[in-house]
Amino acid sequence: MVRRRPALVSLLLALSLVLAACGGAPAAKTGSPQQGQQAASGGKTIRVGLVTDVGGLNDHSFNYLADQGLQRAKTELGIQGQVVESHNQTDYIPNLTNFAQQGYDLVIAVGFLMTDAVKTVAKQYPDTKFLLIDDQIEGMPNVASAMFRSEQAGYLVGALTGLIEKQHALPNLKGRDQVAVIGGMKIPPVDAYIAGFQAGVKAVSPQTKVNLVYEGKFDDPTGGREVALSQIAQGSDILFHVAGGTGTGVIKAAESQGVYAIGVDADQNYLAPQTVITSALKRVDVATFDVIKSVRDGTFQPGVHWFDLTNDGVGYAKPVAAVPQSIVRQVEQIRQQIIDGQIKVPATVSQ
Amino acid sequence: MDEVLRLRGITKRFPGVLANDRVDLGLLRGEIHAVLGENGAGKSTLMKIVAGMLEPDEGRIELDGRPVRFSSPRDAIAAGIGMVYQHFMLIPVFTVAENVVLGAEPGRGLRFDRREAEREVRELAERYHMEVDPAARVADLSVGLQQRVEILKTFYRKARILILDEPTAALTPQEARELFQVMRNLAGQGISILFISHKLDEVLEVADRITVMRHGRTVATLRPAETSEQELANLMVGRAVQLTSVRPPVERGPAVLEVADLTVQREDGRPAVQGVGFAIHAGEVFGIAGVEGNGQAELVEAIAGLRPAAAGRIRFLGRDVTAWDARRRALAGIAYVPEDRVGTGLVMGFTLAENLALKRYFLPPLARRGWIDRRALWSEAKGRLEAYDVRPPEPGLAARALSGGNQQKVILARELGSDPELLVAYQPTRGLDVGAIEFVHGQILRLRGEGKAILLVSLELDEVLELSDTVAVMHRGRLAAVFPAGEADRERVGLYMTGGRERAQEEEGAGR
Amino acid sequence: MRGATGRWRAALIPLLAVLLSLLIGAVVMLASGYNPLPAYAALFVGAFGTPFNIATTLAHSVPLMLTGLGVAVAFRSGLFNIGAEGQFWVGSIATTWVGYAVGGLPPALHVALALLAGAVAGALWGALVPGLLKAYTGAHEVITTMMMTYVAIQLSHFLLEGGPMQAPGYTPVSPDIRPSAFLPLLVPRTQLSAGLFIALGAAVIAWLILERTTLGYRMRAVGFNARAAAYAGIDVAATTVLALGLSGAFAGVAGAVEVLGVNHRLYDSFTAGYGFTAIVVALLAKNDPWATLGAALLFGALSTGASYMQLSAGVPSQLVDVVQGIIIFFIAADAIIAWLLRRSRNRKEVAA
Repeated sequence: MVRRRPALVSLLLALSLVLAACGGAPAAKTGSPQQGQQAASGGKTIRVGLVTDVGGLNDHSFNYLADQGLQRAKTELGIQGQVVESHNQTDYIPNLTNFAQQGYDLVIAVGFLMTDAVKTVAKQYPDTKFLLIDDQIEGMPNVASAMFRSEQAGYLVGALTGLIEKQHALPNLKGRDQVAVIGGMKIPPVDAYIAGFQAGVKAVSPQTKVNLVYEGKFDDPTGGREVALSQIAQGSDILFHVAGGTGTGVIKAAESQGVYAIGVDADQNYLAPQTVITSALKRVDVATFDVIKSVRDGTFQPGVHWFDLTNDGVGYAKPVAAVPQSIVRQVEQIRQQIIDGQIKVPATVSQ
Repeated sequence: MDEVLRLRGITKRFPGVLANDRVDLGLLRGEIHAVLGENGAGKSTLMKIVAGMLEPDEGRIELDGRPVRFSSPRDAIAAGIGMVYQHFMLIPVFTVAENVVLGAEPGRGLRFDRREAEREVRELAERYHMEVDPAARVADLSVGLQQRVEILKTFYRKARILILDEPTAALTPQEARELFQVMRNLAGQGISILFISHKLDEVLEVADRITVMRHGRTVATLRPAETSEQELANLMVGRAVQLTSVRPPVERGPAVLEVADLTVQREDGRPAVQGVGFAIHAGEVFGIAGVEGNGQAELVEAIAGLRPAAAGRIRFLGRDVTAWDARRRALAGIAYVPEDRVGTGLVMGFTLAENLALKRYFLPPLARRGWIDRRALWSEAKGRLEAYDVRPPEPGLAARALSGGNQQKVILARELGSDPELLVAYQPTRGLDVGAIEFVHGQILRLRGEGKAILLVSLELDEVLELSDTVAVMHRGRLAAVFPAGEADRERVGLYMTGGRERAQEEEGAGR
Repeated sequence: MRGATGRWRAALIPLLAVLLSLLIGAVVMLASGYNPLPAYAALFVGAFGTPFNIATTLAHSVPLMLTGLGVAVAFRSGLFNIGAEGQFWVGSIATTWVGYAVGGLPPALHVALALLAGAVAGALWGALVPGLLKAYTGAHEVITTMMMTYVAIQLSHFLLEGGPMQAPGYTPVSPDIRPSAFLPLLVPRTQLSAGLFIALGAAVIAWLILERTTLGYRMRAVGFNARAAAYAGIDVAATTVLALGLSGAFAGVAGAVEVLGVNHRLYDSFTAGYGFTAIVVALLAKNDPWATLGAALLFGALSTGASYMQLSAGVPSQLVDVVQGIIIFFIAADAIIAWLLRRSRNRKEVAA
């Protein structure tokens, strides 16, 4: 049973507001023994609130995927779900607080921008459970955080890339045995993907050259396009981007030059169906769904949850039909080997 | 002649004001009928009623003997009444023809037949002897020609009664004369004209009959031949008005302002004032006559400190003030009444109290250490508004709420209230009615009597001649001539004004 | 008497603008299949329904009050400062730096110093480039303040994204400011800090400056009629620079208060365009300092209530953006409303 006490909280807030109004008297201390009047709403319907970051629901990335997970939980688990979008850094705390105050069982915060806010609000509402996506909070009994082994996803699309290069398995390849990775900024979440990709290519096709460039921004499609065009001109024919919005420019450049690209985080094939052969996936939807399910089942675990290939937390999007089935089969074998622990994937970039 | 328009007992009330009080007026076919009155006498309200913009509270309008009711200007236009407002309602980027036909364009459906429009407008202009090029852009026309376009607009809509609201206010004297010629032509063709004015000489010159309004009532209807400027002025104001000021002899004191070899440039760097020199003494009104644009504006601005002197010196009370800024000169005792009340003399959004403080808001007792003392501001304003008979004497009222005459009184109250030694006045009576002009002239002569120096620049030759002890004429940036009051008459001065004398005697300008 | 009714009438038009906007917003909701009554009820509850929500609304209003005052001060001086956003940013940056880099100060002094840094940074951002350019070359402040806003935002990107102000780690945020620079919270567990009093105090200061000092007199004179001001001997150029500086100082303090009271560090792209909303706030308030507080509260309430409306009524918060857009439209077009008023009055007169 979840205990709620919004009335008590409201009362205390009202009291402190009055006191504050009366000439800045010290705010009321908590600890009144009074209990909330409102009983916990009977029954087992779990209520889940989702707070997006300033990217909003239509970001085609984390927020969108988290909502996908929530919607799936609504239909499959019969929970109640509600979404609030944040427009501003200062919206995070009120939005999280609103859900907590209303007695929601689980409040999901999407993105590392909300780390500070989750810490603050979770301390104030110890009876509410929180899930933070993509950053770590440890040592709080009511907070779970979802982290992703994206190097594994990088390794799989890297292996796919290496095999294609080695076998010249797609039309219009330049035959220079050269591919490129375009990163947004040199930060750990980006580098995890890249490290996996490099290792994946090398494992299947050691002679294939992998160029690495950091464009420097996540919201600069024009810059992404220019960097990509220059890589293509130098002979790369498959481009893996880990660059957010900048990556759309990379994909457009590959499309315009008739070469290939690999998407990131979500399946980005829709951006250029002939060009994006696959995408390295961070299954924020899976993470969201799993944690919601654990709350419903009463098995919620605080602390850091790692999502990887074993729990379908990362992966790669189904390759386009042009990629030979033999290659896909090989990649699937590699996937199993990683799950079995036969392959260890590095998470730091080798230059 | 038959009466085309008759107003019977027209009454119009606004909150707190009885704008028109049982007004009766008749207009004959082919008559030029002037409606004369001070600002606020109710002329404009009456004309708006005739033009259908306002509906009277009582009384009725008869057209050709039949009572009519206008609930919108559209009705009045349909009945053949056309009004030309003081502020033109033209679209500057459109051509003359486009403006004239606007709202009643020839052509079929959505197609506009420009050629047909131009033909019709040209025909109209020829019929009424009002030459104007139908294809010209209105923005390129002079004010006088724009006014013709407004008049043509009314005829295009078949007007037979034309209302002109202060039509000469924005015109040069030459343009005004042309307008009067046009008005006579129109009257000759059977058009009836209601002509609103507060200028006595115009009314006497052009009108067949004159109706004088005061405080919302018609006080008299007269023929020019049977009356005089003096009688009309008395009727307008409601008391005996001094139309011409008497200058009692005043003992002339030492030089207050000395200007030597002054050259002032326009914005584009060309000289506007070239090597001007003169001196004004205590107890002297030094008048400068001239046609507009001959450097008068630049000269007064240079003396007030608003425009730098490119060469020459300005001395005030024996001190060289050439390098002083406007504030320093004002505080030293140079008062300046600018020509443009609305744009320069007053801050329209400020209260009267704030406007009265405009040049001394930072000085005790109005302010101390950067803080304004509202009470001091208020009480000083109250006193000055009463002393200068500003109506209403409300320090908290916004300047824009006052009539032109009262606005000018506020400026005078500010400029003269701080006891200056020199008054620089540029067109101080422009646009004012008889009562206000009398007041301004009275103030100038009062200062003269107190031994102050006055520089009066006016485009109205009569004003200069009437008030000045010394009359100078400005032409092309130079003082073309300087006369003692006794030697200046209209003809001689007028000749210099238009540059008629080839060479003005330099010495006459200097030396004094 | 007359002044009082005039003031009442002046307040009537913005009020009508707000009401009309809500009405049209309701129509939009109906058209998109939402019931406006529960939605507006949720909007109201979200903004004022609980002490926490009231505190949040006030907290959201504080930066709008301060930036709004800045814009209003410039408008009163005849200057269209649309760069409050940039001044807000540089104020935040300077304050954040003083907040974490300067240590060993007692709290009151540290807060004061940090606020001062924000005010000075905002003032310089407004006065130095746009002010001087306007005063001495006539370059229009709309362009220059806007350009300086871009510069400020790019500057913050540079400083935070791997730049000198980035905290250790990969997140583009600055280090936390020291607790000695925190503004105390007025209501615990909310974002409402003593910044509210700073905003109220700023309104008093803005009003005093405008209405009671010679500087304000000069600014208003220049704002109403620069020609007349020059005629009166007022140094129009200097007044312009001062006015833009003062305006920028208010916006800079807004950024400072947001850092010291709410965020406690500088986040990359952390503002929701307060400086732009401030323009509407000032317009709605007709540039009156007191009314600016009210208008800021309205917009604070709209944004706070919007989230709750989405949470409890399921109406997308974008619909509140629509309502805000319509308010802006009606304020821009308040001539339309004045005209509607006149018309209805004329009707009555004719009928009488």
